[in-house]
Amino acid sequence: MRSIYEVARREYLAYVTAWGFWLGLILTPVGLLVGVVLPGMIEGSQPVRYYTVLDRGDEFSRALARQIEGWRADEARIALAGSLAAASTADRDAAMDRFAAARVAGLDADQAVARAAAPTAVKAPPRRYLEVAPPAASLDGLRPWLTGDSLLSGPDGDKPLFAALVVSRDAAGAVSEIAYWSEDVVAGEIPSAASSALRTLARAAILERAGLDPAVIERADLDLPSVVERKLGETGETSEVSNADRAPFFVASAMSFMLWLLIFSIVNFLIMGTIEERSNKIFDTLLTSVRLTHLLAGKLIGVFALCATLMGAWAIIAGAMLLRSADPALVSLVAAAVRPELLLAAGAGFLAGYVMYAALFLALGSLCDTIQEAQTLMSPLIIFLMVPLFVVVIAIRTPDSPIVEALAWFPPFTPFLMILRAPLEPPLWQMLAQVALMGGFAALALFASVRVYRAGAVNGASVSQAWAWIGRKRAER
Amino acid sequence: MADAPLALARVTKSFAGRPAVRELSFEVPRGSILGFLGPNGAGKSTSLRIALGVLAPDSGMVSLFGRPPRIDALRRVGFLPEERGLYRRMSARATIAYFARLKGVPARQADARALLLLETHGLGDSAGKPVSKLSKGMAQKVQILSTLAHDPELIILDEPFSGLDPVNQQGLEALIVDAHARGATIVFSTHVMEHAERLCDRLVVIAKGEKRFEGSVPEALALIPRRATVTVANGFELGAAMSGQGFLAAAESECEGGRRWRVDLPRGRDAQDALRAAIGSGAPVTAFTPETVRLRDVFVSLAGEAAPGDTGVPGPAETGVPGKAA
Repeated sequence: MRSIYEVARREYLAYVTAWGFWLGLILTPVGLLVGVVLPGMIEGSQPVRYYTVLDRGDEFSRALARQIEGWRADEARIALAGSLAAASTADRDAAMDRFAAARVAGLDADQAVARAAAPTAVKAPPRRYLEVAPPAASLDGLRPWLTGDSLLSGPDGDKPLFAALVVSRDAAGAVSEIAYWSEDVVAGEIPSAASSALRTLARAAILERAGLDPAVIERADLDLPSVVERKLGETGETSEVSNADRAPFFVASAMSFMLWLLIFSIVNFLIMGTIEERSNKIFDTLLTSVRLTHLLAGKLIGVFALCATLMGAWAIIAGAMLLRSADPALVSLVAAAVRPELLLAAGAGFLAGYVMYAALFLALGSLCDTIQEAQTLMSPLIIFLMVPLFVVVIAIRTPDSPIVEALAWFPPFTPFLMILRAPLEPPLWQMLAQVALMGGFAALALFASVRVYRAGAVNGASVSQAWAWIGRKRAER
Repeated sequence: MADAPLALARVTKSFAGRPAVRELSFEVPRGSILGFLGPNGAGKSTSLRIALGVLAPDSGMVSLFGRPPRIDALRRVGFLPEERGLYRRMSARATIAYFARLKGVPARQADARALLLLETHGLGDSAGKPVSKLSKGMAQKVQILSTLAHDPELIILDEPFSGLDPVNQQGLEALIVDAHARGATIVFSTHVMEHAERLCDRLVVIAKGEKRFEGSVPEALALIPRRATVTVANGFELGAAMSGQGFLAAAESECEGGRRWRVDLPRGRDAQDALRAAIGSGAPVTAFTPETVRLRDVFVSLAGEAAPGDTGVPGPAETGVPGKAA
C-alpha cells in the first residue's frame, strides 16, 4: 500500500506544482462566471433605442408603448419575486399584491416596484425602447435617421432612429398593415410587441362595440389573475412550488456538468503523464519498484486527489461568493440541494465516472509516444465525451423521457444521467442497480486498462498492436 | 541455485514468433561481478527484463533470491535499464529519494541518502535542480544513483557505460567497485570488453539469444589458443625442431631478423616453455613475442555470426571449461 501512496503523492505533487494547474483552477470558475454573468451584462448594457410610429391616430402607438412597458413590468415582477425568496409567505404575498395593485392603478414598472416595498432593494430593468415623435412625415423623410446619418434628440440624448413603424389604414380607418423599418434585422422585440398591441386593440374594439368602457378593458388587462404552481405533499398537504423545489434540478444539472468538466480536465493530466513516462523510458525502472496494479492505482488516486483539490477550491470560491453576495435566493437554492438521493447519486457518479474514464485515458496514454499521437486519439474521444454533454443538455428539460431513462443504463452515460435524474426521486432499486452497474463497468475498465497499459508500457505497443495483443491473449484463454 | 541471488533456467522468449532468448540458463554467484556480454540485439536487455519480472518468459524459470521475481524480491535489487529516463520536472534529489522510497526506504532516510549520494558524487550543487536542467551526463549519474540509493543486494545495470564520457565511465566503474566492496552482487551487460575485463570475475556471453559461454574471465581467455611469435635467423627450420618437443610452429613471413614463426602453445605449456624449447633445439632466435589474449578476441570468437564450434574456438566441453554449453 505504501507504494500506491508514493506513486499517488508523486502524481499529485507533479501536477499541483505546475503553473498550468493553478491557471486552470483560477480560469475555470472565472470562465464559468463570465459565461453566467456575461449574457445578463450584455442584455443590461443594451443602449436605449428610439422608435417612432407614423400613424394617423395615436391608439396604436399607445398600445405598443403599453405592451413594451408590460413586458418590462413582467421582468420587474420576476426580480421582485426572486428578492422575496427568503421572506415569509405572508410578506411575499403582500409585496406581490402591492405590486399588482400599483400596475392596475396604471403605475409603470419602476413605480410599481417601489410601491411593493420589498425588504431587499430591487429595481425594475431599465427601459430599452423609447418612443420619439417622428422627425419626418414620410418613410423617405425618415431615411437619414434610420440609416444613422442624422441623429435624433430624445430623452436619452442624441441617437439614430432604431425603428419606424408605418401604419396603413383602410378607408374606414382600420389598420390594414404595419410596416416595420429598421437597419437591425435581428432584434424582434418591437415587431412582436406590435403584433401583441394589434391583438389588444382588435379585442378592445370588439369589446367597445359590445358596449364596454375602454378604461375597464385596459384595467382588466392589467388585473389578470396569476397562475400559482402548487405541489402535493406526501401526507396530503399542498404547498406552492418554490425555487427551493426547483433547486435540486438546477444543482443536479450543475453537478452533472461539473463531472463532465472534471473528466475533460483530467484527460490532459492522465494522458500527458503517461506519455512522459513512456517517452522518457521510466516504465522499466518503475515496474521493478512497484506492482503494475499499484502503479495504476497510485496514478488514479493521485489524479483523483488533484480533482478533489480542484473541486474543493472551486467549492470554496463558490461558497465565498455565495456568502459575499448574501443573496437569500442563492442560499436557499444551495440548502435545498442537500438531499440524500442527490448526494448518493453525485458521490457514486463522480467516483465511478472518474474511474471509468480515467482508466480509459490512462490506457490510451500508455500507447502513445508523442503528444501528436495522443491528439489523434483524443479527437474521437472528445467527441465521445461530448455525447453525454449533449444528452445532459437535453435531459435537463426532460429528465423523465424514456430515452433519457434508457440512456441512464448505458454505463458511459450513467454517471451523468444518474445525477441528473436523482431529483426525480427514482426508485431506490434503480439507483442501487445503476451504482452497481457503474461499479462493474468501472472494474471492467480498470481490468482492460491494466492489460492495455501492460501492452503499451511494457511491450511498447502502439494502438493497433495493443488491439492485436489483447486479441491474442483472449484467444489464448 | 537457491543461494544465487539470480538464476535463470532454460528461459525462452519470443516476440511475434521471433525468438529473442532461447533456453538461456545461468547463475549469478553471490558477491560476484558478472559481465553479461553480447553484441547488439543478442537478447541481453530482454534477458534482464525477464530476470526482473518485467517480461514473462514463454518457458523456463527465473529465481531471484530463491523466489520468483516479484516485488518483495525486487526491493533488494537496483536496476538501471538500458533506455534511461527520469521525470524531467522532478529535482535530482527528489528523484533519487522517490525511487528509494518506492524500494521501501523510509521517507526521511531516503531524502538524506539522496542528498548524501549527490554530494559524494559531485552533484550537491545540483540537488535542487530539475532533471531537465541537468546535462545528459549529470542526468545519467542521477539515474545511476537512484539505482543504488536503497543499498541493493543485487545491482543489475543494462549497458551502464553507454552514453557516458570517459571521466564519467571511470566514476561509474568506481561506483561499481564500491558497491561490490560493500557486498553487493553485480550484473552488468555491455559490449565494451574493456569494462568487463577490468571489473568482472565472471562472464556470460550470449549471441542471437543463446548462451555461448559462462565462466570466469581466465576460463574465457583460455578459450583462445595462446601463441608466441619466434623469429630465427639463417633459415633455421624451426617447425621440425619444435615438433619434436610438442610445439606446433608454422612459418609466417620473412622479416629483418630472419623468418618469423608462429608457435601454438599447447595446454599446460606457456610462452617461456616455447622459448626454452626453441633455444634448446639450437635455433638462432633473434626475436620472441608472446601474444596476449584479450577478452575482445574471445568475445568476437564467441559472439560472431557462426555458432560455437564453427568459429575454430573449441566449445566448453573440449576446453574443459566448467561453463555449460548453450
